[in-house]
Order: sequence, then structure tokens, then C-alpha cells
Amino acid sequence: MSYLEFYNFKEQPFDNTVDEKFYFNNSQHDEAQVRLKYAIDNMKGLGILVGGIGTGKTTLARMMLEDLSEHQYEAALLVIVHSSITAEWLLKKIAMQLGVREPSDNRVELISQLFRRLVSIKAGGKKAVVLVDEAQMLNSREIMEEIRGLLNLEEAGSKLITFILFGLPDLDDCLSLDEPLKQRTGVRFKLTSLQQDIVCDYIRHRLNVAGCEREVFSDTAIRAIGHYSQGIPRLINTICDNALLEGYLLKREVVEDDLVKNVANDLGLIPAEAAS
Amino acid sequence: MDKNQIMREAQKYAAKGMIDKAIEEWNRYLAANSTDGVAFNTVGDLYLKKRANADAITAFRTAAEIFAREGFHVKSMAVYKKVLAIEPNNADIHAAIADLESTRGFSASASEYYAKAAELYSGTGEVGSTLRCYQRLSELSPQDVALRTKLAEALIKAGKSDDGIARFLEAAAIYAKNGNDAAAEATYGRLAEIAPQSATVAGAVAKRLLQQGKAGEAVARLKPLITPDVADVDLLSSYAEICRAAGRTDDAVDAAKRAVNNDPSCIPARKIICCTSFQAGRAEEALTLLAPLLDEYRAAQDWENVLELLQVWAANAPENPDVHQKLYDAYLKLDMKQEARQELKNLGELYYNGDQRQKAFHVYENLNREDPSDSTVASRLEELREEFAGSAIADSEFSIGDEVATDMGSIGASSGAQNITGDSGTISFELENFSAAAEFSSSTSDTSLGGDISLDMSKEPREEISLDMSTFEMETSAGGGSSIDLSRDEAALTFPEKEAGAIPFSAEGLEEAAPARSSGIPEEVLAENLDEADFYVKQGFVDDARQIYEKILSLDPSNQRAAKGLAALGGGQAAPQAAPKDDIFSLDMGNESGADQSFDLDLSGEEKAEDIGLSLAGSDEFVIDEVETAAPAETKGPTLTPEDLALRESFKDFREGINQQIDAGDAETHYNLGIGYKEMGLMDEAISEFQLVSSNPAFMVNGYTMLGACYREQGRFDDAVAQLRKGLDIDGLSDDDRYAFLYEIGDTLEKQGNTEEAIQTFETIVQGSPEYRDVLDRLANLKNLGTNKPAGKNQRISYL
Repeated sequence: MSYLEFYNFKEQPFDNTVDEKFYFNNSQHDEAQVRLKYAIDNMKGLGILVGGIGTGKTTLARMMLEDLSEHQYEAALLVIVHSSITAEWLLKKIAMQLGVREPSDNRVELISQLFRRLVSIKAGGKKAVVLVDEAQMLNSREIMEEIRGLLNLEEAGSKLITFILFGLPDLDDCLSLDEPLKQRTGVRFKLTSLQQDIVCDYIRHRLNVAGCEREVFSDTAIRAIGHYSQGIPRLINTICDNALLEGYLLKREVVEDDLVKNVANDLGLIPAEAAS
Repeated sequence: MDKNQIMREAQKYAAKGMIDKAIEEWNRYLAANSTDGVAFNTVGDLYLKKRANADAITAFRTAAEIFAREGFHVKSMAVYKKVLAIEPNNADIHAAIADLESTRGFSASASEYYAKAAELYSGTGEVGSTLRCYQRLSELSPQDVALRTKLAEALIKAGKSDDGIARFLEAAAIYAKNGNDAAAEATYGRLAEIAPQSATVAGAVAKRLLQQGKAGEAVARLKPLITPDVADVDLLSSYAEICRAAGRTDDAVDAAKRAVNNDPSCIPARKIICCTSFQAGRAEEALTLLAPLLDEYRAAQDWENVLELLQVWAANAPENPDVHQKLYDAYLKLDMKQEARQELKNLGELYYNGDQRQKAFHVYENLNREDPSDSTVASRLEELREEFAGSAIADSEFSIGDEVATDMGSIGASSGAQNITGDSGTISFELENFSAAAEFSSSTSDTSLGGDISLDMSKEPREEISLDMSTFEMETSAGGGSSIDLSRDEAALTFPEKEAGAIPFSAEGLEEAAPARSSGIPEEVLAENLDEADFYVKQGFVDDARQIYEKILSLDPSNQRAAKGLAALGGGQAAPQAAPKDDIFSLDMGNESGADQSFDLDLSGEEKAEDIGLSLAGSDEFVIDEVETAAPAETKGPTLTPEDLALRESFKDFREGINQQIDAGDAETHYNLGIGYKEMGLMDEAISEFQLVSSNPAFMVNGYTMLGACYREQGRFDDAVAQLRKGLDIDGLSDDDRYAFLYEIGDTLEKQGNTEEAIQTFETIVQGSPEYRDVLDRLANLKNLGTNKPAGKNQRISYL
């Protein structure tokens, strides 16, 4: 028996993998989506969303991508997993994702191909959007210039592509590498951690989606989770997941705050003096 | 449909000898993947095993057609040859192979196959196909007159009289050109039998008579056809030409005018009118026609006709320097150097006797440079030099006709002056009908084309200036004469082609040709042939492979790859020990010096896939990393059924037989055997072979890689990783090979379910080469950055 069976979940409620059905649409995320969508629909060029670790940027990026229907948008999400990529590689990937067939190895030719593709997208009544997750890893002036170059592409006075960059607050430093690009930011939003009352709703939402039909966390446990996680969704998930596991191991039907504290301690979320 | 699953099932059935089941699985796969040539080939092999020859042929033909469409000509031909092994007299296949050989540029081989196909088609009465083959043969062998005649007869028989007559005429012309008058006459006679009323035939026969000096007979031959209402322009022009040659000027002009009335663009007729006008003293009329005619012939580079017109003109206007200039140009084009020189002398004399001494000076200067031993020229030049001593040669346009170069290197210009200032500036040089340009700087870096080149020739003493256009360094040295010398390459860089009459330089000579080997055979041709031979070896066409190796060695005895290939087949000289350098798909992997040669495991549809032998299931898309199954429990190997055991018993005899024939030290053969066993699904046997070769330094990389692949097939992941890790310890391993091993290790670990180690392995690759294959995507997937979106959405997400 696993803890899923013990607590009668249909699936893991606090997996950190991005999954739309667990998406919790709080007001902050809602606002962020509205603003970024505005940037996209009005072809503002560049939209920025920054937030601390675990605040839900990736989730938001995925939700945005879901929201951009293929009938109206030619959208792509690039997830940067390594900081060694080059501007050429990025350009080529963007071209491929937007549907350029056989992108050229020659940069000039590639840009022409991309331009033609963007014009064709526009002619088809769609908007081209590139979402970039972990954009703080694009820490190179060359890449920033490349993005700026693409934002220069226009036809009949309107921009042909919109970039939405998601990243840690370091992303601002990346943009500063190319001041003209920074100045083109049409929309900027900063994600912050969840408030305590939102944490409670968040946890309950996820439990609900996972098929939980009863309370498995006490109110004090939820408050403790909110406290130790500081409202960061990823940490909330991690603490909850571990707490449920601990509860299952100890055969606790309801997880109390003491369990949560133990877990937080194990996870190094409690400063040494406070733990003692 | 899980393609990989179907392929695995099919393989299993095939390995167990359950051919029908295997075929059924393959057909299931092909129903949804009808463009997979490799799969069709595999199905063909299976049909062959159960002696269903007709089905095998159908499958092979489909495979071959797919390969041909995709440009894999070698593969296509190999499969077609499998059909010929079943049906040696299949005309369609012979024709198909011929087409492929023709496309590849192997005319001799194509001709053989076309000839065979034609023979077979004519035997079955397939006239159209027979004709097509003969047509292709005649295109491949334009000098084969007998073939052309055969084709002509076939065309006539098929009711295609016009084509047949045209082929006969071609044959007759070739016979005549080769001096075979009897054959030419016979052919014309045959033509007269076939088409007595044909104007084309009559015209050709008449021209033939004219060439034989029988102008009167030629006229008589054509005259009956020149009725008042005839509008055939070719006939009228031919008649006009013949009448002119026969001295019947009025008839010639009349016929020519009729031709021009019917077709104003009939150049031959206009030429006749022009020439006859000259001859009749109607110079003004002639000159009106002359200029556009000259332009037409120049544009078509028909210098003989240009020459003829100019000669007629010159005969009528000997005092006109312009015509002599143009004649000089035409003689040069026809490489008639003596005549060209004489013409130049004529021009020089004209200028000398006229009031154009300066021009005469330039002409004689040029003549003298070409042949300083010509005393007449030298003395004239000396006389003119004294006349002009002390005075600057004024700016003037220099012209020796439309050409300024007498040969490839010399412009021979000695006038025309603009500024040369210091070490940089603009050089401009302007000549009649010619201009070229360069801007130069002393830094030798920039060259730009276009503009003018000029030289300040007013300096004293006159200097010889050579201009190295490729580097743009100006060098001057004292010397006699004034000239600009450019090398051909430099000139080709500098002077763009103009209309006819421009400098005969082209940029073609500058293009760096592929370096030819010492045998004179271009590298790419050798490489292609060697690849073909390797492919034949793998397909079991040993004789074909041996032929190719022997042919290459006869032309290039030092070719190591061919020598090794031949040695592996049991023939020819032993392979020399020096490191091979040729680019090879997969087999020849190493050399003593450990030169960088990569083993590409990317099976994304290239011919390499099959050559490497990893496309077990016969699909180009059988990429190991695309198998999306959960890591199976590790096993030591499959459980053998009684069927399997029986199969292995019989196979054991086969192996023993093979091994008796092969020297244990013949690593390449063992390697090839290993590939073959693996393709047949006989992993244990394949592993034995690869273990043998892995001790050979030249085959270590391949050997360990294949061992890893075999163990992985068997689900023995630990063994697979162990072998691949041995590969990492090879001395002198190149970066590419190292990443290849790491990638395979990462992939194997992932399949085994050992995600953490797989991530570490892929990260090692990313640190050294982040753009290696799809390692970033693999890493991202392993790090669980994927989503639970439906499959269709994933294509919008990419990991960088």
C-alpha cells in the first residue's frame, strides 16, 4: 500500500511536475495572465514575468501556452535548460518551432526564412508568440541583441512576433545587457509568494483535484506549511508531499503541524536555532 | 500503432523461422508506412525465404522505387539486382538499373543495361520500350553510329518517321564527318528510299552533294521541290545556299528572300542575302544586314559564320580597318593564330599608311611582343618609336578590335592613362568594347570589381607595370614597353564577361576543382565507388564488390580502402598498413594513428543506417533513443524454445563452415559477420564476432559499440554499459567517439531505469558539447521538465 491508497487519492496531489489540471488560478496568476495576454494580443513585442524560485512561473508559462489556441496563435515554448546555448542556436530553434522548414545554417538566410514565415503567419490571421522559460539563463548580450533584432521585424507597421520571457529576478540583469531591448518591454509582471489564506486554498484545491474527499491536513498543519514554505508553491508541494508520506508511515489519518515541522526540518527549511 | 513494437514482433517471428507471421507483421506496419523502402526490402527477403518469388519481386521493386525516389541510387540498384537474381531477363529491371546508372553518370554501365533491356523488350514486341532504350543508348553514345541507325530503323518501323529520318540524318552526318563516305552514301540512299518526297532528306542529300563539290547535282536535286508555293524555310535556305555555292546568285537571292519573307529570323537566308549583296557591289544594303547578323552569330558563338561574313566584307572593303579588327578577333576565336597575326599586320599597315601612326605603334608593339624575331615588325616598331620618342602617348582608346588579349595572360595595352597615386587609389583601364575595373589598396585585402582600370602611362621612362589583382599589390619595374600583364586567374577575377567579343576569360578556371588523386580520379568519384562496393559486400553481392575494388586498384594501386576491401573478399593484394584517410560510412573506423573518424549512430533515415547495420528492423527510424517503453527487467537473455534450439543447431554448422574459411585475424570480415548475425537476430553469434574484433585496435570503437547494442537488445543493460565504458578507455579516442559512447551509455542507463546515472552521463556530454544530437532534450526529459499535455501539444515545446 502506498500513501495514495492510504489517503484514498486517485493520484499524487503534490507532484512538482507541471500539470494543468492541478493549476490553481489565484488572483495573482490571473492578473499575470491577463497582462501577458494583452501583450500578446496587441503585439507589444516583449513581455516579462519574473518571480522567485517555485513561485509558479513554469506553470504559468505552460498555462499560457495552453491558452494560446492553435487556431489563433503560432506559439512556441522554449525551455532553457543550459546556459551554453548560442544566439545562432536560439534563432534556429525559434525558426524551427515557428514552422520554418529546413532552417538554413547561414544566419542571414535564416532570418529571411523566419521573416517570410512570420509574414505568412500574419497573413494567415495568426499571431506569432515565443514563450521562453528559464530565460534568465540567456545571459548573453548576443542573445539579447538577437531577440531585439527579431522584435524589429515588422510588416505594415505592426510587429510580427511577441516574446514573453519567464525567469528568475536575474532576468532583469540579462535584459540590462541590451538596454534598447529592456526599453522595449511592453508588459512586466512579478510573481510573489502566496499569502497564507491563498496557501490554504491552494492546498485544498490540489487535494480536491487528486480526489481527496476528506481533510488530511489540520488547520494548524496548513498554517505551518504556509509558514515554512513562505508561500512558495513549489515548497508547499514538497512539504505537503513529504508530510503525507510521513503521515502514511506513521499511520496518521490527519497530518498535524508537528509532522509538518519535522518535514520542514528535514528539508532544511528551518534555521538551526529555530529547529532546536 | 507502435511501430517499434511491430518491428520487434516481426523480428522475433523471423528469428524463429515463422516467416508468414513475420510477413504479416511487416505488412501491418507497411499499411501505415508505405514509403519505408527498407521495410519493403525486408519483406522481400522474407518472401524469398519462403520461395514466393512473385511477391518477393513486387516487394523488392517497391523498395527499389522508393530508394530511387529518395535519391539512394546505390541501394536502389542493389535491390533491383536482387530481382535480377530471381528473374535475370526482367527487361523493366534492366531498364531501371540503366536509368540509375545513367543518373549517376556511369555511361558504360548504363549502356550495357539499356542494351540488354532493348534486346529483351524487342523480343517481347514492346516497341515503345525498345525505342526508349535505344534512344537512351544513342544519347549515351553519340558517336555510336550503328546504334543510331538501329534506332532509326526501329523508329520508322514504329511509325515515327520524322524521328527515324532525323536519326538517319545524324548517322549519315557522323559517317561523313568520319570520312566513311560509303556508309554515308548508303545511309542517304536508305533515306531516299524511306522518304523520297521529304524536303529534309532532299536538303541533306543536296548538302552532301555540295560538300562533294557537286553543286550542279545538288541544285538539280532540290529544284523540283522549290515550287512557287513552298513555304518551308529550311528548304528554301538550303536551296539558296546551294545556289550561291553553284554561282547561281539570282536564284540564291530569290530563294533567300522567300525564306526571309516567311521567317524574318531565318539567319542563314539573311546571311546569303548579305553576302550576295556584297558580291553584287551593293555594299550599303549588305552593311545594313551585316551588323545584326554578326551580332547573332557572335551571340551563338558561331565564329565560322562570323569569319565568313567578315571575309566577304573585307574582300569588298579592304581599306576599312574596322573589318580587319573584327577579322583579327574572329581568327583568335577560331584559334587561327597565324591568320590572326597576319590580320594584325594588315591592320598595322593600314594605320601606318593612313594617318594613324599612334595606333600603328600600338599594333606593332603588340606584334613585337608576341614575336620579337619578326624583323619586319621590329624595324617598323623602331621607326615608330623614334617618331614618338620624348612625347607622351596621349590618352586614347586603344583598340585592336574587340579583343585586347592575344592569349590568356596578356592585355597588350599600352595606352590609356589615368591616375595612379601612391599605393592606393583607383586603377582604370578602358579599351574599346571592354572595360574592367578594380579598386585597390596597398593592404591587399580588398578587391572590388566593377569600374575602370586606367594607368598613367605618361611616366618616363616607360615602365612595365604588373598588377597582381589577386593581392592588389602594385609593383613597378623599369623595362621596355608598357603593358599590363595579368595572370589568367587574376584576369578572370577582374574582367566580367561582356557580349560576344569580350575578353575570353571566365571565372570558371578559378573555381577550385576537387583535388584529384594521383590516379587522376576525382575524390568524390572514388569515394562513391568505394561506398558502393562496401554496400554490395553487405548485401552479399561479392562479385560486384570485387569488380569495383579491382577496378579502383587498377587505376589507383595505392588505394588502401580498396585493397582492404578486396583482401577481405579473399582476393588481391594485402592491405598496406598505413592509415586510411577516406571518408567511410562505418566500416573502416580506425587507423594506427587514431585519426579522428566518427561513428555516427544517428539513424535518421540516411544510408548510413543500413550500412552501420543498426537498422535491425529494417526501418530508418529505428533510432534507439526513440523506443518509448519502460525499462524492462534485466534479463540474461531470451529463453530458448525447442524451435530456437533447432535453429541454433543448424546455424552452428553454418558458422563453423564460415569460420573455417576466415582467418581469425581478419577483423573486418568478423565484424561484417557480426553485423549480419545481428540483422538476423542472432545476438549470441553477433556478440562472439564483435568480441573477436574488439581486441583489434582498428575495430575497437565499432566493436564495443556493437557489443553495447547487442547486449542492449538482449536486455542485458549492465553488460551493455560495461562494454560501452570499455570503449571510453580506448587510447586516442576522439571527442566525437567519446560523446557517442557517452550517449549510448546514457541511453542504456535510461532504458534500464537508472535515471540518475543517465542524467549524469548526459550532463557530461552537455558540458563538452551542448549541441550534440538531442542531448539537451534527453536531459530535459529526464529532469522531468516535460508536461502531461496530450502528445499533440508537445511539439510546441522545445528544450534548449
